[in-house]
Amino acid sequence: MEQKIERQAEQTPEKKTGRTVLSVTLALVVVVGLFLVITKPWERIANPKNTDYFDLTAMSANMVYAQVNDMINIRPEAYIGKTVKARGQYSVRHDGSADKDYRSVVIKDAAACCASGLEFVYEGDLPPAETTVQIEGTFDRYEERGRVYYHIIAASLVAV
Amino acid sequence: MSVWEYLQFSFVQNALIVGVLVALCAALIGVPLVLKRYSFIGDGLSHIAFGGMAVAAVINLTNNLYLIMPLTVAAAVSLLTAGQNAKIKGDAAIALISVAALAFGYFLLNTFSVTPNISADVCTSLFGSTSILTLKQSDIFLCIGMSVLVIAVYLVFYNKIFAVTFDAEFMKAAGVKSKAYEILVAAVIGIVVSLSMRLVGSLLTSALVIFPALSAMRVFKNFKAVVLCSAAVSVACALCGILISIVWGTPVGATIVLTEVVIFGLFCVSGLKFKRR
Repeated sequence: MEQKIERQAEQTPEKKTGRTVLSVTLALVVVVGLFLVITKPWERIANPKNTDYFDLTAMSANMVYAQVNDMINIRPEAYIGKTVKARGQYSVRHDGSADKDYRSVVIKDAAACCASGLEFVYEGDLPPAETTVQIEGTFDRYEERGRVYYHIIAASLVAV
Repeated sequence: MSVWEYLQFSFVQNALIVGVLVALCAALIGVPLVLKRYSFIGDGLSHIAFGGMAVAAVINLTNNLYLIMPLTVAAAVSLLTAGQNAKIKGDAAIALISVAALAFGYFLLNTFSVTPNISADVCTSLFGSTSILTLKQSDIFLCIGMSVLVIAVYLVFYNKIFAVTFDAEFMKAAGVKSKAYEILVAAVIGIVVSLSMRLVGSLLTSALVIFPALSAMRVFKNFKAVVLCSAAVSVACALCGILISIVWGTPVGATIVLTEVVIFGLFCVSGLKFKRR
């Protein structure tokens, strides 16, 4: 009985708090662990469904911006030959020195402060500039005036 | 798309790895900063880092961290080790350098702009909207390398950091080179602030540093427990914040900070409940 009273006296508020927090943390770890064991995300990450088709219209604004940045600036060669579907504002820029029009789909991030342009070529009819369009085509490389550029050879273009 | 499908992308995996490491480093260094009443220095140093970023952009440096990091470390060392003999002390010195660097950086970016969209560059630097998702290979290796270095320094010099946090004068009186450890802590703070810019931007860096420490202090009173809890909270908030922003398209930096605010609120309530026992 005396030992029990002594043990209870040793249970300071800080120790009780620590024990409670530890219990909650352990419970959370167990729940998260069970969730991971059931859903097995590492299998889904290691075996992606389709690595040849990039549907930017199904992604969030941040992901679209990051994906376009990856395609244009970071690892463009990894996307050669892949099919890309994108939606954004149609923009045309005329280069006087080359006497050529460069068409692109402009995609903004979630905060709409940063924008990336995906250049494309399309044989069919084109809508007016600033129209929101959806394109689908193959990502490819081309050379011009000694430099390498990347664009989408669009098989379809739809004004949205 | 589900969150698992997003995790298949290499830039998402990189963002999570770098984000978690940077958040962990920020939490570790946040505890001594908050205890020494230097919470606002993260804000000041991040503004200096912004000025450095502007200079790096104007001179077209391939990786702006090569300039930002040494500049921020130098500023941290001079601010934190100025001591009692400085003519302008503490918060006044931080405010002075901080606003001057911010104004200088914005002035440089506007006057000598090298990109067509200055607003985008400023917005990304100040708020870190998607910078963690657009890391280059060199950025990833540098961030991981410096984060590992910070964690290693913290683990190796844990006892000295503890001592210099609570009583640097006693350390000096005991014959230990407290000045050297103060410089070490200041250098680590500078490195962490430079890395944090990639995750949450300049204006929100101080939140990454102080919120986890303050949350842990609501519940724990022991230094080691506060450090461990702070690290866990910071990593969890960074992970949740990045995943939420990816799935729902919200700005990354602001989402991470708001997650930390919510967790801070929960810890405050928990702290009050435990006190009443």
